[in-house]
Amino acid sequence: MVEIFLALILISLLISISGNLAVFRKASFLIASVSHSALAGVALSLLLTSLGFEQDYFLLATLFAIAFALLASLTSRFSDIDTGVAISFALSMAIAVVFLSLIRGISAKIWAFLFGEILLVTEQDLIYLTFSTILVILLFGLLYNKFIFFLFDPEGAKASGINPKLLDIILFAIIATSVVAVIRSVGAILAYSIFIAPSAIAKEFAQSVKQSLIITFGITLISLMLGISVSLIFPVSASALAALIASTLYIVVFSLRRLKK
Amino acid sequence: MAVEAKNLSYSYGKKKALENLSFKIDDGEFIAVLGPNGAGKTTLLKCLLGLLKAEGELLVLGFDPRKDRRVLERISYVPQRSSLALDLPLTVEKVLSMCDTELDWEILEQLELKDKMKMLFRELSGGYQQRVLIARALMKKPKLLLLDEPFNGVDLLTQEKIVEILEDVNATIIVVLHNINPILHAVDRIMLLNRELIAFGRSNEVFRKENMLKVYKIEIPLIVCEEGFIHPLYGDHHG
Repeated sequence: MVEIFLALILISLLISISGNLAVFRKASFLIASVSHSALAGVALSLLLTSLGFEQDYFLLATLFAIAFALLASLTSRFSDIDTGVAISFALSMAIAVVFLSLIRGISAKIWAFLFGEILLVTEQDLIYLTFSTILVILLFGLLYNKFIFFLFDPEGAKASGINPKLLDIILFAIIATSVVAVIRSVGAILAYSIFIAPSAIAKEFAQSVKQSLIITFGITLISLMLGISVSLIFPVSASALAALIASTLYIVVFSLRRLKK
Repeated sequence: MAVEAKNLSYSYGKKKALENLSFKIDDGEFIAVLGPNGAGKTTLLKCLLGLLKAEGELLVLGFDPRKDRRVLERISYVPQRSSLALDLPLTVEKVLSMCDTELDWEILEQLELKDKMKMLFRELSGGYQQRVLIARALMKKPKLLLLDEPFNGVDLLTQEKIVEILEDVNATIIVVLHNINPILHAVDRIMLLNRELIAFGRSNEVFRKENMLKVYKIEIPLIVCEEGFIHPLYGDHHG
């Protein structure tokens, strides 16, 4: 139980940072793209393992996720962020499907990565989560002021000597690392809602970026804990419930806000 | 010399944005750049910052901005408000401290921002948002101040306030505008731009029927104010 609680804290920290970065960068869809790229990496590791070449999923998933996140960043320079992400998404999904179609008899493992299962977090997953969280917090902490400047005022940031291309690449890499770290717990398909809904709510109500990070952390942690609690009573996936809670909260909050106006 | 350009050109792919611009701007001059949309006004500012690599000879504060990034330490740039991510939850204080400069309470007092520090930038009016951006630029104590359409969405009173402040700034100022009238009495020279440099000089030298036709492709009436300055009368077109 302690391991699960620790995992929830680490997942919430990662989602707090990366969810906010994605929302501020107006690249929410990147989460979906990156999680499916990670899935392609997972599929390749499962395929190699099934062929007798034992492979851990984390390294390949991270490589795929970062590579496709960078592809999205590069492609967006020629058009816009939506097009860049869409191209990266389509390509990574196609690769994932190709690898998955080559695998025989391990659908349960694929299912675990598609929809995740917080209650089945292993010691190995916890190590990956800890390592990724430390890396993401370090990078985010070191570059915090630059990120905020670049996200708020890209032209002004460039004119102050900030390298926007490098910063964008690091931002995308942070998001990719976070998504890979939580994919086993929340799943590739559900990652989108659990990353974006809490940050989108927080952005509307926060009085500062730091407050937005704290609110996101709180909403994510509560959604995950409620998801787990309900799943102990009813035989339903905890991560699916957490995503359901976060998304419903988003819809309720914004509906109430609209009614108030 | 603050800026010295010779045969400065820039193209976006095959589309020419600036063609063979040659001009000089002295230290401390206050310059307004005018022209229609797509005339290359913002492109010119970005070339001066070295963000776009223009062809031709260019010296800004003695540096070639395309090669020497140190020049950016001496320049402040106020971008168009439309380029900002206004939905971010940032306080005025946070926006002001982005450039790693210390808060200058005198500037904040002058721009009436002292009591707004804890407010969210996104909740300020357009005029106050512009004041914050100008305050941020001034706190850097620049040698060259570049402003891109600072009057967009700003009421007349705030426009006057901004002009007042800019007049007191001890730096070379280049401001890109659509409407020169709020600032005409304060500027030293006016640059009329439409990809090419159409005219560059004092208002009485620049605002001539033929120049306005070259720049805007329509006839814009010109009137002389009590102080003897020629003003273009925008919005009163004669086809």
